[in-house]
Amino acid sequence: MIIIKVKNQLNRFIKKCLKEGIDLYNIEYIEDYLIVKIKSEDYKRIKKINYYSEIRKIKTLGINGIILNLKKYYFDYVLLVIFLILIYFISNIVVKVEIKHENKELRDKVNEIIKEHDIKSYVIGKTLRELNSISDSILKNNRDILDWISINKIGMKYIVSFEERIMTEENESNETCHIIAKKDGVISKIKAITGISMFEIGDYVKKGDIIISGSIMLNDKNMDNICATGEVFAETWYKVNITYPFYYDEISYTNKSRINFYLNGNYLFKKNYKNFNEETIWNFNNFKMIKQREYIQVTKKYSKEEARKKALEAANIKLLEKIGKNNQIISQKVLKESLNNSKIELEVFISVNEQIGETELYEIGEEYDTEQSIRYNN
Amino acid sequence: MLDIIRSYISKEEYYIILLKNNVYIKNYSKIIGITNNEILIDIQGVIYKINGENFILTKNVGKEVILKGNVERITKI
Repeated sequence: MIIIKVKNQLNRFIKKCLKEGIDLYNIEYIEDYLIVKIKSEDYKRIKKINYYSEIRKIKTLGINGIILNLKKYYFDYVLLVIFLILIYFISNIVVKVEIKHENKELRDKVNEIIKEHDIKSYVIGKTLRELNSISDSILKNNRDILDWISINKIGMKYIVSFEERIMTEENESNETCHIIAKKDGVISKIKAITGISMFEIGDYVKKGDIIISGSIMLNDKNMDNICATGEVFAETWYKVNITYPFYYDEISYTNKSRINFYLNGNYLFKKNYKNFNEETIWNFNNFKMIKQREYIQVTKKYSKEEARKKALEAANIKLLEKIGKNNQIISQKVLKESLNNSKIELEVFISVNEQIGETELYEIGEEYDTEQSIRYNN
Repeated sequence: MLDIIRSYISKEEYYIILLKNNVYIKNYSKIIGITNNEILIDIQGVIYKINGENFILTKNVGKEVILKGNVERITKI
């Protein structure tokens, strides 16, 4: 089937076609011409009998139409196919292998292992089935270091996640130890896993006191010696001196931002923002596409109360950095306070709920007094 | 197409269907003449004259034809 456009002598064209018994499908009359669908084999005959009309083929339908279209746009279709094949290959190339684990040594080790199985950058990506098979094989051959491993291809990256095998060795040594206090304090929690608790909650202990004993006594007779284990928390006290400035810089972003490119330490567009932040949008080796956002920096001043509050928070942070973030601040009290134009100085008394238990080895037969007030390691 | 085959096999009689702005004629023998306001059609030896206005041919396949226009009268000559 073809679609033709007929101009001039339209009535005569219709009459001639009817007379000749030519099938006319879907005749559309548009202004001074008509468009009609006819059988391909009728085209020549129509042209011959309607020589007075201007007849032009517009479109070929069906398989013939498709073949004609393919012939006409042959070069474009070949380019499209090549482009699609290229896209397929490029999208299947792995550009990065990301190994997710906090242990760097183990990461390097796993990297070496997976490289042997062709899991590396700039290669054609493997199928899910292949990756599963490689994971199984790696796991089978490295049971001593790996508990579990998974390799996934996400986009153009391999994501390797694994679990380290932790060999739990039983403590078969005959070490004997106590849990002693590493500083003075009032016990708030005591949990003896092995050994005998020598104190109770609310008792005051001094540095070096045995809190959980590894020496098992019965009727004043030493029955056994073990390594005491457990947890001891006590309320302890600290004095912290802190200085905090009244002035601080605040950053506020303007609405200005732009895209820039960065190659080997050089920007493509010169830096015309005085202050700006950068966000990497796309990164390929040394080439980066970045978004730069301009900001302005304004110096502001805290009120006395705000500065005091900030100083107390800073005192807490400073102390927890020193004694460990798993400890808990119970209360704080300002002992001394002084102000000048630019800063506030505080001396703060802080009470903390702190882990004070510390393991200390002892020799069997070494004498120590179980009286709570006498220090073991004096 | 299937309709045409079926009508030939079952020796279907002709028929004329009048629609709002169309005339559908099946199994006609010959269209004698067609103008803007008159159609002369030979259906199995009988000539019919269809009067109306704005007649145009929209489809003519095998022995069926669709004509668009306002039909006012159909007379047997």
